Amino acid sequence: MADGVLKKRDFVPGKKFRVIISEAFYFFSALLALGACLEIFVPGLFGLYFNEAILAACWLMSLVLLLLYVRQ
Amino acid sequence: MPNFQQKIRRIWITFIGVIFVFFIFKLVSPFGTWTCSRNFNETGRNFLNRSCLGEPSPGERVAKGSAGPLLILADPVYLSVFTPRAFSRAEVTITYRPYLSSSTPIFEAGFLADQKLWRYRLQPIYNYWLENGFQDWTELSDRSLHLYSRNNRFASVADFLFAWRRGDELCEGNNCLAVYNVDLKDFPPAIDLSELSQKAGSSEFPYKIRGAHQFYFYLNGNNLELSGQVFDRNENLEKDDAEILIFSGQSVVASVKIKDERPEKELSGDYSGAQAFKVSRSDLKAGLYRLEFRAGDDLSLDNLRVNSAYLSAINKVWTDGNGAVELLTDASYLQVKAIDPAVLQDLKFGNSTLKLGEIYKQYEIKSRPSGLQKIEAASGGLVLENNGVFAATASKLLNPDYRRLDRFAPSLEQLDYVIADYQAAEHLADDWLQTTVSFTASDLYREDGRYSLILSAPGLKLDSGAGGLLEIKEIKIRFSGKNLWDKVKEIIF
Repeated sequence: MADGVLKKRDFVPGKKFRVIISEAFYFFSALLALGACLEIFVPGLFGLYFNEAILAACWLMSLVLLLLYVRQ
Repeated sequence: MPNFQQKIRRIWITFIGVIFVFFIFKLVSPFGTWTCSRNFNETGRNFLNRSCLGEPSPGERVAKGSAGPLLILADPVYLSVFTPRAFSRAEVTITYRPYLSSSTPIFEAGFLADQKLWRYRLQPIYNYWLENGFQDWTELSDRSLHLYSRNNRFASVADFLFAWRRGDELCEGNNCLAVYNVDLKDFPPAIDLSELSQKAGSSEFPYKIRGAHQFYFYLNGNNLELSGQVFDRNENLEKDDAEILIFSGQSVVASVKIKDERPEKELSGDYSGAQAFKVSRSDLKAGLYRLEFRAGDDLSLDNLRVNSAYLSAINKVWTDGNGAVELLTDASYLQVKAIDPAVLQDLKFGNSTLKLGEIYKQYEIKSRPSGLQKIEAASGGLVLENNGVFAATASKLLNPDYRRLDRFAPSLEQLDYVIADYQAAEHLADDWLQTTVSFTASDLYREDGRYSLILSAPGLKLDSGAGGLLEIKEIKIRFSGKNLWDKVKEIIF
C-alpha cells in the first residue's frame, strides 16, 4: 500500500497531460455512446467500421488513467 | 484565445461530428449503392478487416484455415449480408473452384425471399452439365438462353421457342424436354391437358399434412369448390395465420385468409379445434390450377377436398398423424426427414427400403426402375420431398412440370432437347471461375438490416464425401436502388 502511494507521488502529471487524459475519456465515452445509439437503430453498422472490443479497451484505459492521475 | 482544454475539446467534438456524419451518409447511401465483399484468402478479419458479409453457417458444413479459400463441404451454407437500408437490386459475384460431379451438378446462390415458408430465390452459379456440354448435340444460343438438341431441327433458339410456345409437338416421345432456370410462364405445360380426364370428379387428399404445401389440380368446368380444415398445434409463440391461394399460371384467381382467432393460447401445446375454410367460384376457366397453402409448421391441414379428378402435392408432403401412409410419386428418388424420434421407422419406396435411424437427418433413397413409385410408411410425421408430385392414387396424379436439368435429371437417352437460361462462368487464372448473377431485391426478406444469402450445391454431403466440394475465394455483393435525388423527386412530385 505504501509502495503504491510512493509510486503515485513519483510521477506528477503536468496540466496538459491531465487535460489530455480527461478529454480522451470524454471522447471515448462519446464515441461509445454514439455506437450504442447506432446499434439500437441500425444494428451492425457501427461494428462494421469500429472494433467494439478495442474501443471498450481504450475507454477502460482512459478511465483508469483518469482515476489515477486526474481525480486524485 | 481558447485555452488548451478548449482546443482539445473542439478537436474531439469535431471528430465525433465527422464520425456521426459519416454514419448518416452510410445509412442514407445517397448514391443508391452499397457494396459488400469478402475475400476469404485475407486474414485478420476479427481485428480490423471487417465485412458486412457474416460468417458462413452451419460451421460443420464449411472448412476454413487462417488463410485460403472457404471450403463448402455440405449443402446448404448460409451467410448474413448487412445493408444499412433496403435496396431494389442485388448483384452477386462469386469467385470459386468447383469440384463437382454428375451427382452434384448444380451450384446455386440466392437470398431468402419468404421467411415464413423458408423460400429462397436462387440463381445458377455453375451447372456441371451446361459447362461441360452435351457430346454430339447441337447447341444454339441467344444471349443467355441455350438450346441443346439431339437432332438439329430448329435453325435458332427463337424458332424453337416459337414452336414450343405454340404448343407444337417437339418430339415423338412424351416429356423429351428438360429445362434449367427458364421462365416457363409463357409456355404450355409439359402434359397435353386435352388428354386428361374431362369427367367431373372430386378428390380428397387422404392425409392430414403439416406446414406449407402446394397442389396441382385440374378443373374441367367453371366451378371451383374447395374446402378443408386447419388445426393449430400451438407449439410456437407467433400467431399462426394461413392463406389459401389458387393460381392459374402466375396469377392468383382466388384466395382465402385464415386468421388465427382460435381460443387456445400460443405455446400452450394445446391442439386446437378444426377451423374450416371454403372457396367457391363459378367464373373460372377449365384448366390447370395450383393451390398454395401458405402456413407455418405449427399448422396442419386436413380434409382437403376439391372438385377435381386430379389432386397432386407438389415436391413435398409432410404427413401429420400416427396412421400408416401410402402415396405414389412420379420421381424415382425420395428425400426423407424425421423430426420426431417417435416416427423413426423403415420406409418402403418402390422396390427399396430405407431405415430411418436419426432425426433431422436428410435421407435419400432411389428406386429402379423409373416410373411411378409407391411410398409406404408405418406412420405419418415424415417429411417426404423430391422434384415430382405425390398423389393418393395413380388416377389422381398430375404433373405438368418439365423435367429439370439437376442431379435427378433423366439420362440423356430420354431427352431430345435441353433449354437453359444460363450464363457460362468466366475462367480466371489458376482454374478459378467467376459468375455474376442478379436478383430483384425489393421483396427479399431482410431482418435486423441483414439479408440471408444461401450457397447451395444439392447433394453435397458430409457423410458421403463422394459429391465433391466447392472452394470459394471471394463473394462480392453490390446492392443498388433509389438514390437520394430519386427519393426527393418521389416525395416532391
